[in-house]
Amino acid sequence: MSYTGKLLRVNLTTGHSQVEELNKQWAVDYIGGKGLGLKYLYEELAPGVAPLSPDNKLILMTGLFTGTIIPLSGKLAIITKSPATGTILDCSIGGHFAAELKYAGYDAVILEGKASKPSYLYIEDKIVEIRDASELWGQGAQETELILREKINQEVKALAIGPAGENLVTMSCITSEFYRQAGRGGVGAVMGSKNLKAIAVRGSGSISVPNIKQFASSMKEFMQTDILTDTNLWANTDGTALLVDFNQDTGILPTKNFQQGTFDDYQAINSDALKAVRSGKKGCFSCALGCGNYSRTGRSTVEGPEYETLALGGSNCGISDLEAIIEFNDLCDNLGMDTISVGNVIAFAMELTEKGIKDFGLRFGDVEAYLKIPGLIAAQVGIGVDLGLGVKKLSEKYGGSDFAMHVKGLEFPGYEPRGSWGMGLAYATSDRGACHMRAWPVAQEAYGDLDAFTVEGKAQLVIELQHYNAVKFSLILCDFWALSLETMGTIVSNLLERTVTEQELSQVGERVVNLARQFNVREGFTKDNDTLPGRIFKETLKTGATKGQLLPLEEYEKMLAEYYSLRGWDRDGRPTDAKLQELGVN
Amino acid sequence: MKITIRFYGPLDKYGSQLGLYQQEIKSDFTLAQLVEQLGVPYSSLGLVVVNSVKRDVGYRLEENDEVKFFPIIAGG
Ligand code: SF4
Repeated sequence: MSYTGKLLRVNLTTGHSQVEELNKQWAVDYIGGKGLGLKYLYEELAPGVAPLSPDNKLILMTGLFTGTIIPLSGKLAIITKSPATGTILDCSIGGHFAAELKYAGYDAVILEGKASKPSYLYIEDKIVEIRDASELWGQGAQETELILREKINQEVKALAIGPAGENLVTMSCITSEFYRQAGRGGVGAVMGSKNLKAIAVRGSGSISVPNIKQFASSMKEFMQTDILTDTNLWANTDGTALLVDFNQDTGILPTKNFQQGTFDDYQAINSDALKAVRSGKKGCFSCALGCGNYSRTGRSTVEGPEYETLALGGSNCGISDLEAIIEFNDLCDNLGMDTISVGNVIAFAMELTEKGIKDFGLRFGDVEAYLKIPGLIAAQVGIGVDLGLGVKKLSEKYGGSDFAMHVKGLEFPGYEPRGSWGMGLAYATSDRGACHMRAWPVAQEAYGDLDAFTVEGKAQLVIELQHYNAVKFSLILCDFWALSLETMGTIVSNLLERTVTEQELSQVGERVVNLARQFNVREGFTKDNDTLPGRIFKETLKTGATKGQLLPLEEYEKMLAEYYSLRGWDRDGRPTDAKLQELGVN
Repeated sequence: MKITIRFYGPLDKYGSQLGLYQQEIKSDFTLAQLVEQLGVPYSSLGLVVVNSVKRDVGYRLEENDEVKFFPIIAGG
């Protein structure tokens, strides 16, 4: 059986840990990963808990596929209440931690309370220890992993935070294998608030699957016919950096705090430019695509930069110096911060400065000033205190809310919604604030055959994509395998030895989306929070394929109303009792 | 007439694998005919951009057009 059926609960306040049976019915209803983690959090967290208080919980959830040879199944879901947004938050992180946790005998870990002093959690099969981390505290996320490997074993798999997480910066992330991040929403600060510097795991067990021969041969077949194909191999040849050219040509490359959708110097920061400094490749557990590209310059080495960093830390800050972006990436990685949010807050501060609203001494394209910011935010000194607030709170303090590019306090990813109207709806209705991983209609609108500048059909499209992604992140698979729900159903059926149809899986997706919505409704979120910054509704873009475009507010409202109605939610965006009953969500 | 072609990512194998390259084509040629001539399966083709404008395959090519073929892409 590819679940271990065991959940490890660790109370950091008391130091007590216990092993529990995984809730079997919930595993049927929510599968694993995002969905199952969300179900546990929903049931166990009282409404109104402060995200950085000991009462918040941090859940590490593997999935049905974790630890098997199913391709691209090496991810771990991390679920908590977000200190950046106050919403539900789930992130997925690559590397090898998830499989190792499963081999140690656990499907999940629930962390509660707060350690009395800096600590790290060590798990080795049945051994569970909360250990002193005083020598790790203050270290970078990458150094922390290096020290743990030295101290414990070179093969140990770890999750770690950097100084930003220790200092409760709400854009801090959790890192694994030096360059992989659970990036968004401040998961790192939740770990920091628990005085938890790292989690290290070793596992010596294994996972069994039914009909191993048939299973192995069908995986081999998927590899040939569904993975190593033109549809997925971009991840190997270029990785996400390829999106710079896609987005430049479709006018959705965020530039100078989303003032434009094209960047004159895009060729200095695109995949071709990166190939000149590429120094190696890396993949997650069980992944044949290996989308990770190492870049080395005289000053830094990173895995990446990924598209999001090139866009938000590059064009969006008016920065075309690739070496500087790589250094920015390196700084954020080791300090333990999300490059999307940090890039956004710098760009916002640049615009506030240039507009004379508040002088942060930052200007678009000023490399020297830009490179100082990650350190200041992580250490919470100087202007880093203000910038660490994130775009939403910074705009509440100084103004500029029309061009504060966030939803519910989470900063925009690198896709301009005025050039992909469905993406606007996807940002506004995503469970954790502006996110491109809950639905990504850009592929159909900006790149595909659908008209990007209409709301017709977009509510339905976003709903279908949200269900698809909710299933994918519950299984838990990497985003970059473009497999069909039908293929997912085939693999799940083989593992569970019962037929699971594509419709059933889609309903799991719908259940997960509705439960996430219920969580947020319970926390007080309303229709008013399902909106976009004024810039999107009021300002037209000036260049490229999106020249002259905005997303008219009345069109947006029409699309949102249709979305609620198709979802079976009331006019204020609350799931109706009938819908919740139909899905078995209570 | 002469046009410039660029294939991206895994589609490189359908082109010269040299990044941007020039190709002679007949006049009165559509994108669909070009795709066929180059042997690119439609199922592999994501975005096609001519002179920085997204085009469908009915587009009639002109002298000095710059044609970019992007693969299908999932996730962001
Ligand atoms: S495609 Fe990249 S992120 Fe996804 S599993 Fe493979 S290496 Fe990890």
